[in-house]
Amino acid sequence: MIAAFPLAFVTEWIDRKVSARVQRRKGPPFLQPLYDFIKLLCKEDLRVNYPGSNIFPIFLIVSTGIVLYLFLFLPFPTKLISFKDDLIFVVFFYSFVPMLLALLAYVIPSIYSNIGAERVVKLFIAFEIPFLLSIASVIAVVKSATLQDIMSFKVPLALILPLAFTIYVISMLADSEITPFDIPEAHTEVAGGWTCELSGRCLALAQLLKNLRLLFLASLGAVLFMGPCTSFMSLLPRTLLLIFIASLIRNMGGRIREDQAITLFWKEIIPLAIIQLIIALSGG
Amino acid sequence: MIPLLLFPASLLLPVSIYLLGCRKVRVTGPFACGYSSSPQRVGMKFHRAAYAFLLIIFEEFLLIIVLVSPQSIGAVLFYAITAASALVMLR
Repeated sequence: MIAAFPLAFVTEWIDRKVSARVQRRKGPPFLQPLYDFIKLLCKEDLRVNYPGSNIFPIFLIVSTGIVLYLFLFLPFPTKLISFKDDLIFVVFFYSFVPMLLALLAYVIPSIYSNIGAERVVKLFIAFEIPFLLSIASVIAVVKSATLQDIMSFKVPLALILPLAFTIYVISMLADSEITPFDIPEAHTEVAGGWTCELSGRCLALAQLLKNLRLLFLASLGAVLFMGPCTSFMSLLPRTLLLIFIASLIRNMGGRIREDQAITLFWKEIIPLAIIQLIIALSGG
Repeated sequence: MIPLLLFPASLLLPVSIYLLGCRKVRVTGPFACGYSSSPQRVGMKFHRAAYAFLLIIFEEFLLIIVLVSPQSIGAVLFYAITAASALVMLR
């Protein structure tokens, strides 16, 4: 949990640096995300006058707390929590984060926030099932839903389950709201969506949460698919590699529409995920 | 129980960040982009999506039951709801 906080800034730095290099710019210095975070913390909070305007920071705090808590299940730097079938608990508990963000956006009486909330929920409906099916394939091969068993599995599962790994990466992009799935916070359409009315320390927390989500999903992906990684030093390079891949994909194309995202996940990715799961269950 | 007791500890960091930040809050009137002139329409869409969202959360509960015992009533419910929602979504 302690390592996750500074690594969230490293995640943002990699993302911004890769974007800059793709666009033939130099990119920010290493500490720039931290400076931006501190700057946002120092700014005053601007809130629309409406009843319940003090509620939405609670959703942000709890969401950030959930993601930080789930890092305790991974060797970040030490694995503190482990019990039987803890992977199911991790995935289930993580699914509360989009719900809290949707509630946050729905509390604010702004049309952009409300559309953002609706899009968070729609995107969740789209990617959650393939995300679960890709993880189910891993469970089927390892024959255990305990993270410790999956971490110490001898062969990288991305080699045995390439389809599940690809589906996991696509779902990871959708979950982290990275282009082409940045539908809930599309700046050119809904002016930032659920982050539209956030400012000051709330916006700082929202940015931190976004980086933490990407970091968590990348490290979970590294644990599930990229071979035995029982220590922090073996997990970190694989996590950073996944973040690098996500940043590259982000810069490759434009945003897709929400109906296209749902169609993509439900009509194309879910059948592939089911095929992969059947192959994994049959021992192929 | 002990793993769940660690959850409040993980809230310490975001709470302290929030408290460390500038506490000056300026309350403004409605923004130009602020209050919705037709909130019902967005609200209706949100509610429809929220029902589907709750359905998925419910399905995740059932998925756990499937993993624990694949031939239980919960598992049968899971298959039925998955098939029904797939039909609705692909309509």
